[in-house]
Amino acid sequence: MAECSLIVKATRLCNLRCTYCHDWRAGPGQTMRFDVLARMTAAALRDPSHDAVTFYWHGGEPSVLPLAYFQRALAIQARFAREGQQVRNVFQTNGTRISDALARFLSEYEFSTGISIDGPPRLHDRRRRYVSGRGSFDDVARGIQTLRDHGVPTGVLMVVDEATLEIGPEAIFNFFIEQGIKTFGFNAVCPENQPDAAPGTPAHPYVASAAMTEFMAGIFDLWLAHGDRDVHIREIDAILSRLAGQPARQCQLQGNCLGSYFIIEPDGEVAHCGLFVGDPAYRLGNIRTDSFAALRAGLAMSALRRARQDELATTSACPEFGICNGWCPHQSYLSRRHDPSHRAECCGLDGLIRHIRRSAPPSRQSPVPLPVPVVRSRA
Amino acid sequence: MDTDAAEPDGLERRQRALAAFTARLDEYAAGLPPRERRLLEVIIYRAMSPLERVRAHGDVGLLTPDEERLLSELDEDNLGR
Repeated sequence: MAECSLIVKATRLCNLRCTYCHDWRAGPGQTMRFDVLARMTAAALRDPSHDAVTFYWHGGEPSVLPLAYFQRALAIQARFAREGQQVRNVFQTNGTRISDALARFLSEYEFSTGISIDGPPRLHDRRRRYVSGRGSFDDVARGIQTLRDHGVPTGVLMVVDEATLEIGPEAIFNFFIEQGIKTFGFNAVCPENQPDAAPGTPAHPYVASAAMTEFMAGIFDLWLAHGDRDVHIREIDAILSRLAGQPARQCQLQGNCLGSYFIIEPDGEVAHCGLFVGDPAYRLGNIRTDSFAALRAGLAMSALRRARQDELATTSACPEFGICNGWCPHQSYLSRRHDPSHRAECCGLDGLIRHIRRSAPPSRQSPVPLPVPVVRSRA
Repeated sequence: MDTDAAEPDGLERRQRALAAFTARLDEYAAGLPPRERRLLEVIIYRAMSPLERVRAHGDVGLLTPDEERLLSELDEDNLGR
């Protein structure tokens, strides 16, 4: 089955000004117009190779848009979805504007929801602030409760930066458990993309794979000791699935995400994934004029595929390659440019895989499917 | 073989079967007391996929005539692919 995932930047407007975020924009023209939305949806759902399509509603912050925007988006999907085609919707939100009406809508139409929380209030409020500078934690906690009240499957994503590493995995893991949050994942903070940066160029904020491995190994140990099988941590579940011989559900371990994950900007510009914003090499075309078949067959995609194949040829000798499939291309993109300890022969995930392989009993190596979004994003 | 008189394809067969089933269900529902009819409607609604629910609600008033026209155009030209 061919699956296509669209990271839809429905709007670049956002009500927060998170300290590490480069994704928000202000001013006019930052919201996807109906004609772009319609062409994108029709192109995705009518492509004969797309047996399953997932729309990840991203921003900016999608909840700044009126509910009618998403009602209309679903009306378009209903018009163009083909018999037997699987269509999923995921709402990735900062959680500050979850009204009863929005939660009811998300529940009725079976959206999964991902909410960004950066740990306990003392951490979260330092980084995830409103334009006014006020922290957003209390509003996010209310938003999560509203989603729970309406039975919306919700996972939490946390950005890991230097401050998180200082606090350490135990405080973070315990925070999630105390909050009753049982499905969560971690994204290492990303610097702005610098396509022309030479190897070893310092970047801030940036958490390299060695530090992230140490943090995640700590999280894994805590998860194992905690023992609740209902607690799902995206990155750990992904590795456990691969160790159990199952296909990768998380985009990062799928090996070649090129041609399966697209980011669509409000003006219809299409690029590979949302992580490469700012690097023109990853721009593929425009959905107002290009079909998905054309985007996949274009020169930009061909160049990206060649570069990725070269990279994978170098890392494929790694003993853990069968598990990681070369990991996320953006991890190596950053590592090559900014990590002084970069190793061309390994993607950087080998330490965590070995740690999990050594410690996890076979009974914990077959996780159940998760409601948490499986596509990686910046926040 | 007269290919113009070919058997209906899988999709068409399923659509016909669904239409026949819907007609029988409508007939059955019409004979129920109002409370049981509402209950049946809820059960049917819950069994629908999200996009079937959207279709069940209809998009009356949701889209402007221009937007409807655009969708029809996209539908007709099959996106030129």
